[in-house]
Amino acid sequence: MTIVIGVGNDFRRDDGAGPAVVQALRGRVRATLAATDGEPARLIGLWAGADLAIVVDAVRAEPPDPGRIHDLGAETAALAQRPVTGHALGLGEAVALGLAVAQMPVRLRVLAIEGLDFGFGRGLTPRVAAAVTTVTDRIAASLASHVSPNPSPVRESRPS
Amino acid sequence: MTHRNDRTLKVGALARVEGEGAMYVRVRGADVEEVRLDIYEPPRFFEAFLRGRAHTEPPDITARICGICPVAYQMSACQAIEAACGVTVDGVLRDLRRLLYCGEWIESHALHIYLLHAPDFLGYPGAVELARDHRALVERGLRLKKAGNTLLEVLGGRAIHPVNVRVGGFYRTPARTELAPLAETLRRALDDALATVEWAAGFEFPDFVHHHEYLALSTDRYPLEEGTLRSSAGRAFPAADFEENIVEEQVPHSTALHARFTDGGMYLAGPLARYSLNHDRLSPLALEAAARAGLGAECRNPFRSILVRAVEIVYAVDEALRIIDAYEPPPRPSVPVPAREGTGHGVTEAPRGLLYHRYDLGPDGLIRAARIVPPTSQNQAAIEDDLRQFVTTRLHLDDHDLTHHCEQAIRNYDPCISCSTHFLDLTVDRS
Repeated sequence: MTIVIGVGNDFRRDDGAGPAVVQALRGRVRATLAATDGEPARLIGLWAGADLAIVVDAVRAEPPDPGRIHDLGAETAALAQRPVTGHALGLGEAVALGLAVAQMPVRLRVLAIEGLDFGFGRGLTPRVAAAVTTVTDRIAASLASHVSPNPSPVRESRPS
Repeated sequence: MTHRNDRTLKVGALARVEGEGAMYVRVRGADVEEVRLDIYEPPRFFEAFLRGRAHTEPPDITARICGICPVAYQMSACQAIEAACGVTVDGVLRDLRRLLYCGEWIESHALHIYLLHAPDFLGYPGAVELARDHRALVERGLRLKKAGNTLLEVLGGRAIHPVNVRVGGFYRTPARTELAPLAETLRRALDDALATVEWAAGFEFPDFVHHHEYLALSTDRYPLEEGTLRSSAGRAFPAADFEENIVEEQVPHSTALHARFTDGGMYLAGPLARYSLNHDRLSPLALEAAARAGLGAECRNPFRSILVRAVEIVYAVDEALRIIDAYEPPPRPSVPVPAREGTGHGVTEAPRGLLYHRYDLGPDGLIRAARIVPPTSQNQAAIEDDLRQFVTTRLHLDDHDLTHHCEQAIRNYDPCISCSTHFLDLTVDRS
């Protein structure tokens, strides 16, 4: 089973990048699609048992370079924090917790998009919107070449 | 720290609470001069955002205020709009609302107990470290949380910001066969819930008692989705009189408003108040679990709130099973709620306490004014008061230990600062 998980809040501007990628992948990939808020137990519930989980999340970086894309593995993602979220636990804790309770996908890939504006409201800033298109194409291309013996149907856990 | 008896304790970003905020404590000699819970997440302006919207929209819009307790927002919004329109939703639809709310309590309480609060009692910095040493325990917490999540997905359409709730009821009600697998999940969850109470009962609780006036809903069942407000000092008033009894004040250090009784007294809402005012309305199984855990009819030690939450999980699972067992699909998924000019009030028991909504509807059915009072802003004054008492008896501790104790004291209340604006950093000023 392959799952693509968009993490973020589409009512917090660029924090909606993850859910936007999931939305754009509809009909383009044979994978389970899900959007969530980044709360660790929910993330673990979504990716546990998957052969491949691709998590797309918006991040802040210093110095900032909005729209820059970081392609990370589980080890690097475990160091990540999500200062954007209103929750005390983020993606880094989700990976660390998933590893501690052995509820991780066989492979985890994290695509992080640097955001600019995390204020209230809908809509992505132009460079983040462009990055969403790039990440969507990159995931679609990688899944097209990813041979899965039992491709999963497209299912939306939380439509954005 | 500059001087043993004059110091400032500052926590710049409180961990393991929901939202963003900070805490500031100023100590002069043996006196704790000031304790502030600083909330710096920008105000959410939801009340203004709702003006001009249709009367059918608040359940979906206000659900977005919080990812942990969206059902609470939906239920208080529905109740208030329906009151404004003179419609009562009862029978099976009322039971289904209660069932959905049980899912949110299970999920929210399991998250707080296992991932946020238990590490404090077991000497771990966080859930990850706890999980490395006690994998089976954290797995049990994740299973419980997932059971609540599943309930929300089945009945609410999805776990975060459910989409199946509408003014008047639901968009779609489930067939009995759809609830059967859920009942199986909940039966397994009941064992996990009972084991959680037994486990938490073995924790060592600091000796601390507070005397706040407790305020909770009261009805013929353990309060969730409806009821009359009742306090430990004998106050009783309906949701419609909330604003006559409770005022919100702006405080300089916070973007959340502080709520108090109009006569000036502070109060505490949430699990401790709910339990202490409604202990006799728990199900026999939850009552038995509470008694075995050593909880009496009233609980005034906020550190034992983890135990009360565990008992409430038992209740919520038990109640959900009761509703599912008795369930017969209603003839229609909702009742009509035609808009009319008027004002409606709604109060329900969010996992963290009372959540009040008021809507003023114009003759066109559009919202003229909205008011939302979340539990954390109601509890903030009582939390600060507890911290003041708590710090006064622990001034012998160094800043590191005192900071840790204060953070633990704050987590007793599972404050959802996202909701109350509206999150945490700690400063202890001893200079």
